[in-house]
Amino acid sequence: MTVDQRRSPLGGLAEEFAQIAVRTGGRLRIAEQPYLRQLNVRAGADALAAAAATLGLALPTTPNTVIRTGDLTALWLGPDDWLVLGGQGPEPTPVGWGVVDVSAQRTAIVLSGPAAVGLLAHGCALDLERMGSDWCAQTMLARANVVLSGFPPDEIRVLVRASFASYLASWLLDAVMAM
Amino acid sequence: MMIITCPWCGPRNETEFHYGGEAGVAYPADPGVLSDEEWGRFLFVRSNPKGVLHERWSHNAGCRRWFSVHRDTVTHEVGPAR
Ligand SMILES: [Zn+2]
Repeated sequence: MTVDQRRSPLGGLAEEFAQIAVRTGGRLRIAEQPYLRQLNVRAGADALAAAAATLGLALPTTPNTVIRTGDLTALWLGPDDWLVLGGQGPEPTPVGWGVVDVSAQRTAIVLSGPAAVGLLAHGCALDLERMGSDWCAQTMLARANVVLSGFPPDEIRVLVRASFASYLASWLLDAVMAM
Repeated sequence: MMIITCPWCGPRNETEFHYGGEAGVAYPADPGVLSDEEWGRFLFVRSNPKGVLHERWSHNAGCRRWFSVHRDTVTHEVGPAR
């Protein structure tokens, strides 16, 4: 029998996060989504179609948008740069483009509920209220570099580097106190 | 706080960007023939106007692309490269 000995960056804060839903009467829920598979995909315009076909998804070409295909979500990071979330198994073999498994680079914090946007506004300069559906953005949240992505109706996923995760979690827990 | 418009991501706070100095400074075609003074001039001497300067910026905390803008060094007004 194999024992899962992985420890996620915020695994020790599950109880503190769970109490937020109680404290806010369900207006805000925060939970870590640990071990989310993340692939960094680099492809020039000439290899874009091949990359999408091999990965079995569509790659957004509109800046700061997201395309979901089945259980995979592709986030635009740059004109030749994407982050693919979800799925499992080894990454496919690229030809003329590149893919790197960066799952351990960042952990995911999922905020949901009607108070999620207001909480993030304490430390994020982007006007998250005015984002459309299926948006993403690389920006700063409370001085930490993050990748944000929004999913209707009221869910926002914050991807933060593992080494910044406990700092950002502390900031979020503190910001909840001001609500 | 300046707001700089990234050609990819749109307007973002200055803190997301890294300054790359004056734009349009070409690397010498044949560096070996330059005198020390000419090399020093290439490395360090910039136009430093009171007014509009053509500048390089990198959207470090966003899409990480380099791009050029025009910035007025008096008003900090930033606009697209002309
Ligand atoms: Zn950008």
